[in-house]
Amino acid sequence: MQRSGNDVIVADDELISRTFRAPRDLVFEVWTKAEHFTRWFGPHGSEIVSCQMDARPGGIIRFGHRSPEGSILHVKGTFSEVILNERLVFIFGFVDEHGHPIRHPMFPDWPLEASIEMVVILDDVDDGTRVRLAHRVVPASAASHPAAKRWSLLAREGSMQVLDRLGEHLSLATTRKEHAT
Amino acid sequence: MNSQQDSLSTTFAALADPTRRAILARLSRGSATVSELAAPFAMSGPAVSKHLRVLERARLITRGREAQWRPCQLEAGPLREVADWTAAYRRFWEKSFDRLDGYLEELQATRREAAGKEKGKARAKKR
Repeated sequence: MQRSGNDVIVADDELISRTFRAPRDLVFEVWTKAEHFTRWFGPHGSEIVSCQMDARPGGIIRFGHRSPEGSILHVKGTFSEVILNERLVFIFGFVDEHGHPIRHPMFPDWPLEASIEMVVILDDVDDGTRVRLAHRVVPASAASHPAAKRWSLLAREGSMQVLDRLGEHLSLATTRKEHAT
Repeated sequence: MNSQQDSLSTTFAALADPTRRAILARLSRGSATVSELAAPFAMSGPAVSKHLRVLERARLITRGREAQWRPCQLEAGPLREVADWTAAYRRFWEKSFDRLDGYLEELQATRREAAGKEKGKARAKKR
């Protein structure tokens, strides 16, 4: 099977990593079957509607996420790489309820040709399965678009740690100020 | 919505540079002068001033008026807006993974129970 040359997650692209106390084949199953995926994706109170998942190269991934606040976001894409119990790559974009491409809901200048590639990598670790998730804007030509760059800055873990710490500092500072007044 | 979007764009653009983020990190510990900010970066005063102007325009910092030192300080508003947004995005995945953790546990328990029943049945048949 041909690999797309991103076997190693670039630190900047990593979104989240966590170890689950479950065997690797089960973790793979809950990522690739609609009946399982709809049970865990999104925070409590969210709902996955019209989920389609055909986890094989070229197969479709499509679903709507209804947030606890009630807004629905539809995404649609395809799996580009599926290696049993090891690795999943899918590319998706934002669509309306009819499946027509729309801009990223948070970026009014989002380039329509841009998609987001998600890479899911499963590894055995001592007490279970480690899941690493990475994401980036594709194709490379769209990644240099200002909106895509802002997305990267917003969504990427590495470059945002500073911001997180600043955020904590700021909320502390605000609390202090509020107490003072 | 649009003016909010514009101000977010300006904030993002200012934050896109690692040196400027480092400057903000330094300022989160307290206000500082240009030469204090330049020290850790092996950078000239004018080069740092250029970054400070970008940060000032994005309303991420303000500068004092007194004397020639013009100490810089962090401005909370726009930064918190971006930080909140980013935190919400990260939280989405963290909460999903919390749910996934619970779901995997539940699924394994159900399957163990089912396997146990099967064994029980098999044993009952033998007897």
